[in-house]
Amino acid sequence: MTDFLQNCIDGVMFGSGYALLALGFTLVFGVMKRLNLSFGPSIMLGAYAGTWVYLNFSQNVLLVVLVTVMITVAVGIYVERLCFWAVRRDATIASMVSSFVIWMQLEEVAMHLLPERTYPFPAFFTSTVIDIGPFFVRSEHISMFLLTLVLLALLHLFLFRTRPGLAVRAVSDNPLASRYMGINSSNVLFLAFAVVSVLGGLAGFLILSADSQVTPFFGLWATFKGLIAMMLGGMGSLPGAILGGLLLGVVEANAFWYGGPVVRDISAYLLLFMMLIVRPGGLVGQRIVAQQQAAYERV
Amino acid sequence: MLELQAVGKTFGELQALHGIDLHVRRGTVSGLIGPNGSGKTTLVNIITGIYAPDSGRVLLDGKDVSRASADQITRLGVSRSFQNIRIFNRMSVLENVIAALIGHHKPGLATLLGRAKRIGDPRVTAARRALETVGLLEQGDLFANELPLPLRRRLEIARALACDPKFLVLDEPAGGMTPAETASISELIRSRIAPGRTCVVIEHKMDLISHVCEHLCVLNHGEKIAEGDPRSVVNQPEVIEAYLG
Repeated sequence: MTDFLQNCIDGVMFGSGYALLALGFTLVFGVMKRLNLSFGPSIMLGAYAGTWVYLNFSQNVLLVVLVTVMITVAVGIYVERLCFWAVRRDATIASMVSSFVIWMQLEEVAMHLLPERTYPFPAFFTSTVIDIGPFFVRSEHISMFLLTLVLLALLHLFLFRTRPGLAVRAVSDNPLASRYMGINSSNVLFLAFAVVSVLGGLAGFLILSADSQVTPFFGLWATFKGLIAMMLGGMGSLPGAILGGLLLGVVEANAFWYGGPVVRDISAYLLLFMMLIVRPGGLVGQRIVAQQQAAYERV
Repeated sequence: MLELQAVGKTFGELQALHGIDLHVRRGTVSGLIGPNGSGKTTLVNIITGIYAPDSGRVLLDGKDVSRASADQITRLGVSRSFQNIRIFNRMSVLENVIAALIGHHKPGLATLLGRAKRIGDPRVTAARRALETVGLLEQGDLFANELPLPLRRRLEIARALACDPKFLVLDEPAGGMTPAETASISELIRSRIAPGRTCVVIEHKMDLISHVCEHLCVLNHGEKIAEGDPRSVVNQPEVIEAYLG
């Protein structure tokens, strides 16, 4: 039982990083009803730029954070202009495919920037183990968890206390009505991408700091984990993204402890399939699916 | 004030509007009626910039706005409510109205950086005033999807009113309401919304039209078949045949 609880603690700590990734996906999906597959690779390129600065110019970790976030935002805006702004709103497949093409492009850029497979990634703090009764927590996991809480609070303030946040929610809630109200959805989309990229850049830094290394596969990894966590919680739902991220973290931590790394990776996909079969709308999106089903049956 | 000159619109093979002329004088309430598919909503969508006309012109205070987009038209002082209610379900009643005001103002740094519900903010004051006008102030903190249909229609009207429009379009404000609810919204429009404003009301319910409108225009198959004082228009044989049966 102690092992299980310890795994749950580890899972919640690491799952907070998944939650941030899922928030990035779900915020963009909520506003546009379109998937941005190059979200993970955008973060990977930001992290590569941060690593490049770390290896060649400065060991200042704050500078690495800044470069990682700034490059992630720049790449996010590049993706938004190319794959979403320039593509017609109803061409959802075209947007998704073009974001996949950009994914390949970003990986190529990263490989040219730093051609080795693996690079060290700096951390804010040296890793220590903190004992709490029969349990223990790694310091970098605590810092990731706490910073995630701060970011979630800031995102909540942005969405629910500011005018641009209100505009983002309006476009997400009813795009047609917002257009009729005079809200410029193109500007809102741009803003949403910028916010999501800041979240993504910080999430990338936190996760890679805990892992102490970065590889070109981080883009693929971040995309998969973010998408799975979003689907588990319910597409387009912000609380769902957080719950999905935490659930994924807990399940993976237990699967790793009881079955090893291969079982951990399989468990994520297995969990997703089970969720899609039992609750296709995810943990908190089931009501939306039920409404859609009812509307379909009425027709 | 608002003038339509020979406005025409085609969707594929369908001629939705045939050279419609319309003149809405400042400070008046005009009604627009017609059977389903007569072109009423298409006409309103052209006035509010959702569609551009294929032919003819739309003039607002003498300015040609035929090619202006919906958000540009909104900023020129045209607001509307919708036949199919288009509220923001996951936002509070007050936030629904504030969101409309955000769209109404030209984007600027002050708009971007401001707090959404700061007390004393002119937008919040205007939103609360609009809610008070339609009798929804007490429900300001409820989620919009918690409101029953008649109050949702009032919220739509409040959202349009908050922008202090020069020109207000109400698309079926009593749609789906019982006779008692229709009488209530009709009185609200007549006593609190119409005075001092220029409005166009689209509605099927003749009680409401005759209660609030000073001028009536009848469409059928995309053509204007009658226009004038509501009481005389509804007695014209072609109107009775086309619409009133």
